[in-house]
Amino acid sequence: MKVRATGGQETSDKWEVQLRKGCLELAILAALWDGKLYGLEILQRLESDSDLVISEGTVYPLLSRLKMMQLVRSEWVESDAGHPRKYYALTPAGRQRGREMAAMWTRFSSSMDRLLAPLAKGK
Amino acid sequence: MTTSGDAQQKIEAYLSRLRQRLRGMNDDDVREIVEEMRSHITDKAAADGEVMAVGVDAAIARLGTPEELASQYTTDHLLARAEVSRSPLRILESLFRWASLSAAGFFVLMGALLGYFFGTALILCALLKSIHPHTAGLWVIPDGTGDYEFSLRMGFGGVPAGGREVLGWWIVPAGLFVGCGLVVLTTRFALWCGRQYRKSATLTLQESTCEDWSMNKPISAGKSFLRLVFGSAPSDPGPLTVAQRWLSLVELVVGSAIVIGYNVYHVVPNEVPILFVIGLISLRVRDGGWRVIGLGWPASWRRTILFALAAAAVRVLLGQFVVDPITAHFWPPAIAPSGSDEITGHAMVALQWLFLVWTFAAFGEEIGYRGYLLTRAADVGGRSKAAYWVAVLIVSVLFGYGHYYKGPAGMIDSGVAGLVLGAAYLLSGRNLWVCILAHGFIDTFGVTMAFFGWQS
Repeated sequence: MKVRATGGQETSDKWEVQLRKGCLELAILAALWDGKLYGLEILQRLESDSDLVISEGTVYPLLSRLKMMQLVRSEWVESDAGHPRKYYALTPAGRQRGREMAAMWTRFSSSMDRLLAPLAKGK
Repeated sequence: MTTSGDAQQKIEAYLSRLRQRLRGMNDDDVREIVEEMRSHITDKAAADGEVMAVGVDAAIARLGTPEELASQYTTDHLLARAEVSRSPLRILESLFRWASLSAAGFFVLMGALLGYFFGTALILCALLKSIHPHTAGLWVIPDGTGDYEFSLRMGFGGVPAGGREVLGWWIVPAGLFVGCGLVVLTTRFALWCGRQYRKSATLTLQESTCEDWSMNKPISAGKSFLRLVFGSAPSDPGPLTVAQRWLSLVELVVGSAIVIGYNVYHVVPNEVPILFVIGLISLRVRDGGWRVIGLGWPASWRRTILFALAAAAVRVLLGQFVVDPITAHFWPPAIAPSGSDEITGHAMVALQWLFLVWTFAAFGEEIGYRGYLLTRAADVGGRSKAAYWVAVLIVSVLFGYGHYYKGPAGMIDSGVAGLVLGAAYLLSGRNLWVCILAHGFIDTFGVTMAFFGWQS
């Protein structure tokens, strides 16, 4: 039985992890919006513009799943560095999905903001 | 860009470990993933145009251990692929992997197998009705005790004595409708379960911290060979407490009592299903899963199968040319299981035996004896190397008693089989799949011999 005294702390951490994970897919679609990027570029983009990435190891499996769901496609491109890099780009389905998710996000976050307004004002 | 030799070595070590953990996935996918990781680590570690060992270490630490990375790829990937293709084969493939990870997966796999089995049986029966109009279909047949049994007949045999066909030609639309419905429902059920699992699994995977994965640990030649052959052995949770060892002793004694109680004195029901269920529950509750007995996903199925074939060959040859000739001096030959004489020349009987052999004998006995009892016996000795070998000996004696009906010659023969299977288990780094497959191969060989009437 894994009941711990620090249950409250643990649940809130779990919530944060869940939140990040839930947003990661949309964040990747957004990062690819302007054109193709390779894995490390996507990571750098996510790291500079957000604090979504916990472990870099989670992004690659997610990219592979997005590819399986045909939301992104990939191609290997020879680089100046001397080794090929795997570039990802959005497919039309990925673009569509990104738009839908962004719309959902906007609706959701504005209603959350309204709800949270009292928490932000008062101390 | 130049890469120092040291850095190159670290990258290769990480990638080869990753490659090993990804086995079971399709080769092209594995190659893509490995190449992508190589490119990532090289890019990440490159400082001032040179890839240094320190940079590689940092890049790898950020990626997580190969095990973590691979498990994210495999569970995520397989379930997603199954979801896209919706093919029962893909779904079973991912369920099989999932079953090796958790109890929930095991039950979903069993449910899915059952659903697909009945679904295809109904569809087959409906299709065969047009070829065997008088014999195929759903029948009610009186059995010897005055009761009735329902039988879904494919129609290859004759008309069963006293039997009455229930649905007639309606089996064609009904069978197709219900059969296809079962297949579709099973698929939807499995995918639903998979989605539920993924929701919880991604959480736990995310939480695990990515500690620095050191690749510089020296590994002895023998160990590294076994690792090469079988991947890493199931990890031990650490030393057992005295109370745990006593509990294991109690379990071992109770288990032995059940084996002898059924086989010698016939006072308890058949030991195999009992040990199977108690064993799975005990291992789940006390050890947190079945990985501890080596039911995890093997690093390589090909090597597992080859090892199992070798073990089966050793057992058959040893029995035929060493054990049987020796025991023949003292006792009458071993008694065959009752009903096995009907196998000769009867394909359907042989198939029924094969089914029994692969479920009851291969899975049931191996999980009960080699998986459960052997682990508990080794617990008593603190799970040291010697404890495991002594455990093999004890369990082999019990396994001999498990075949009491065969008479002294048969018991010794089975005991030796237990030794061979136990040795294969330990030598393969405790991979229970080797035992399960080897047991299945041995008995399949026996059934085949009986079918062609080659048994002496």
